Amino acid sequence: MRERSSQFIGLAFVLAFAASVGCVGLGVSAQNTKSSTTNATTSTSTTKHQPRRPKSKRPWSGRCDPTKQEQADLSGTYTGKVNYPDASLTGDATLTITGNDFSLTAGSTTQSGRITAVTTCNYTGATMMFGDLTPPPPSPNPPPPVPAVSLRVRKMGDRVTLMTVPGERRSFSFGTAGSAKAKPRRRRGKIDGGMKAANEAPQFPWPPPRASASVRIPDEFVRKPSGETYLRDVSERLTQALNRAGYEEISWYAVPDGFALVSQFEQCDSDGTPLSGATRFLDKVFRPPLRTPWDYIRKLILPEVGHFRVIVIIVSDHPFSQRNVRVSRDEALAWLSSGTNGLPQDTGDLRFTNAYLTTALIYEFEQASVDSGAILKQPSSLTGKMHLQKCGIWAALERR
Amino acid sequence: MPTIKQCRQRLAIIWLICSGILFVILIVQTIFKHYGEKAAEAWSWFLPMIMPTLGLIIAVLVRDFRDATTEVPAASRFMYVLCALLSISYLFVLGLTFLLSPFSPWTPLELMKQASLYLGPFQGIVAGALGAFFVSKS
Repeated sequence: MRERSSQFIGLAFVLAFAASVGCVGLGVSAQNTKSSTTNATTSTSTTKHQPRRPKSKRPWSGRCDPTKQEQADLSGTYTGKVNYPDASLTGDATLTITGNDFSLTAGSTTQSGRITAVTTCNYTGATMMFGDLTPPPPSPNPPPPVPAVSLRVRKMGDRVTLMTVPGERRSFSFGTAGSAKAKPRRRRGKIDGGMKAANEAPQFPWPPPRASASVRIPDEFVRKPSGETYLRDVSERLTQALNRAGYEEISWYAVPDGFALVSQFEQCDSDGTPLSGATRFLDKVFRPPLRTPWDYIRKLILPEVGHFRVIVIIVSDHPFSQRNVRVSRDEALAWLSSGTNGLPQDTGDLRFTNAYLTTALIYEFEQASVDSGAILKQPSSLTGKMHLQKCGIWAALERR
Repeated sequence: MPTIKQCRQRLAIIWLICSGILFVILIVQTIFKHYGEKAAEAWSWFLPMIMPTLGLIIAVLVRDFRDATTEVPAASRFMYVLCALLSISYLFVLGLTFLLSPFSPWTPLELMKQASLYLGPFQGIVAGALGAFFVSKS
């Protein structure tokens, strides 16, 4: 009888241990299942294609004939930075164009193909087709078509910039390095509150990744009250407004025929009000000190949720749709440090015509607890205008 | 001196009450998403801390209940006091991991990982003492 009891206890001990380990395993596997589902959803959502927008018809101004097309010769060797994730081409690269053939080398990866560029009314568009264009022999299983990318080309002297057009599914950009010799240009006054302008700003992801909220800033907020308005005036006006709203660090990026201005990564309440003082620009969840027993109970039981926000103001005459890509917190955090500290002079010299749109994109991140990661909130519970009002930018822009 | 069965029952009460409180705290935290989407990590830390010992205690209690007619010897006072003190200390330290987390600079999950450094060896000592006491015949 005693022997049986001892066996029973031993067995029970083993069973209890196995049960606890089993519980843990269940918990972990449940989480894995959940995360794999989430990943699947994410990957599905990222591959979903945006329907192409119908091209807006602009009235012919009479300055040039939009029906006239000229083939553009882009021949040359350009050194700069490429971003073509589909072919794993990123970073420093050399683009060699000979007639309609090109070869693009970044690190140990080389891609070649054909490029065709056409200029219409000072707008140069190009199509790059990657791979071997030799027609394959007839077979029941023909190979897939070679990837083609529609691009906008900007060529100034020996510098060239290639950027995907709005609606293009693939992401591609190439820009020659700032060290390339640029044509000397007349400097027109002070740029952006006295900050020294860089020769070339890095390109902002184009079309921009999907934001949590967006709002169009009325032209009268950024246009000069009298006389011609240039992009440098718009940049200065936006800089002043951001400074008044408490943002002391701003960085600039290039977008097609314009610029993008990125604000600091800030922390706010769930209603969009920025946190006060130095806690506003903390990049991790602010944990206030405990003052009352209720504070203690709240902190013991409830999650400490963090809300973060980055505001990107895009000034461009190219209407855009937002790409169905989820920006991570780290990417958004890096935007501020990767941009230039002023507006490039070439961009600043462009006239702010009626075709230009000023759009604020708000990327809001929510961190569910101090142990979780911050995830982009899509859509935001606030409108884009409410975000700008809460952080004080709207009021600063309204004030002259 | 109380019998060994009475001592086991007292130790079982200590364990059931203390671990029950911690269970309730963790359940409420999970309901209110205290750990965000990482609640499973908190449970996977907590359960191995108490379940093996608690399982042993319950199993012995069930056996004692089934063997109600057998004669009951007196418990060793030293072993009983040692087990009681070790159990209370262990459960107190385990509870501190939850109750002091609002004051800690570490996040709750980071604190749990750090607590494993001292709770692991401590658990080994407590489980050894309780195992010897609960399986002993006198």
